Amino acid sequence: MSGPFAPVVDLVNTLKNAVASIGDDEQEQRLLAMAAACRRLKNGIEGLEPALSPIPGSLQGWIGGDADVFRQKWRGYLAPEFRTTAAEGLGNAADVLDQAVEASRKTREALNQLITSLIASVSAGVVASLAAAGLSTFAVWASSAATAARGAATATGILSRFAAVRAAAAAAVRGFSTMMGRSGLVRGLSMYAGGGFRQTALAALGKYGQIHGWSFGGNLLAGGVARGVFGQNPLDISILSLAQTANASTVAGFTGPLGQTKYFTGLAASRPLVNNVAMGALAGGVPAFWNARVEGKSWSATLGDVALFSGIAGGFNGAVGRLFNPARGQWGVPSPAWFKKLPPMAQSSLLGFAPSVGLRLAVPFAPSSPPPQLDR
Amino acid sequence: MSGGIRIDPGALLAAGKRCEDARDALKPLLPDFERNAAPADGCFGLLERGGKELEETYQEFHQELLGFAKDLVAKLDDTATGLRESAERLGGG
Repeated sequence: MSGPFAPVVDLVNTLKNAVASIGDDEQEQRLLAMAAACRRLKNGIEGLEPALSPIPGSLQGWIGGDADVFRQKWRGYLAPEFRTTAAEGLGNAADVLDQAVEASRKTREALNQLITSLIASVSAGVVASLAAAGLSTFAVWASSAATAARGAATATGILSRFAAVRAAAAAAVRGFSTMMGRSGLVRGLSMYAGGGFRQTALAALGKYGQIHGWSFGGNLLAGGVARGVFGQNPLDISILSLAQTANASTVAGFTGPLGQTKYFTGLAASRPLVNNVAMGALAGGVPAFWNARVEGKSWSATLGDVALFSGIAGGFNGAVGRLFNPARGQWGVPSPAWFKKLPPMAQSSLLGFAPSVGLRLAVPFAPSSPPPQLDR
Repeated sequence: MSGGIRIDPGALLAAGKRCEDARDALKPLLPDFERNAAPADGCFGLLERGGKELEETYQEFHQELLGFAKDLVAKLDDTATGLRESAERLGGG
């Protein structure tokens, strides 16, 4: 299909395909297979003891040069401690892999439900994004009204599912962190170097916190600047706006794992602009949706917010993506070396700061709103 | 003193046989571990941004344990041979 609507159809299909790719559990099957193979070798190594342990005792009376050489080699290479350590490492690795499957499965479920629920409302924002990214004409923008109306029909179910999904994913991640921190696994999985696999697993989990932190800080700052513009005290942060900021950063964090899935990494490589617009629209639209509900806005106002937030964020993401990673023939600037060295969330926070302030100015959060009324 | 021979060469042969049995039990497990415990590309992909890093260190762990198991097979083989040769020397002397 060509014409002004082609990019819209393209993006809705992009989201649908992403859901389909999340549904396939190839990675988890692999992790389970790896855990099983680790346990088989563990059992195999442990099964050697009945054959090997009686040997030194059975040769106790043996003396002479050959006997000395034998005993030295046995101590150096075949003492049971080596096998015990290896078996233990294999058992620990298998446990970590099982937990990784659990965390991965919960993340997958959460993303799957979240994205399925939000396709309708986000697609409204995506339409606006494309207009903002200068990809299409205002005819595309006009069509967003129709898409938003379709989104309203599904919206009631979205909120409750969204809340459940957040809780489930957060619980899975907490479980994995606790498991990794437990004393049994604090010992290095690596036999020789110590640390190794376990250390990295912990570091990977720490990034969850890092992402939340960067996102939270950036959102907080953007909110403060916007409040200053509206003549409010930038530092006078109400509980509600803090809650909104926390929501925004938690929800935006969800798009991180999604971006790591095979579908989006492939898309990023082949069509960076489409990927940027889609990720920006998700990151901007989903928190806007949640926050509008916290503020108790009407459904039509909610969908309007979603369209606006995801539109601006998506459009900006697309524009910045193109600016810093120009495709052949496009104008752009190479990103400086110091920028490339920053953690990914720091990059996003820096790039997203200006449009975040813009969003707060366009759709100001209301510090004096009544306490939240959450739908069930 | 009878030249250090205080043991029946049969005991050495029996110990060597145990090493061979252990070697034969372990060896067939190696291809399984090498193939099925190896990380697939992107298998930690849904664990936030550290997935790639995690995959690399698991890869190291896998290589290390594979190396250990292969080495163990070789050492058992080596020890079995050594015990058999010692037994022959005792028997011949």
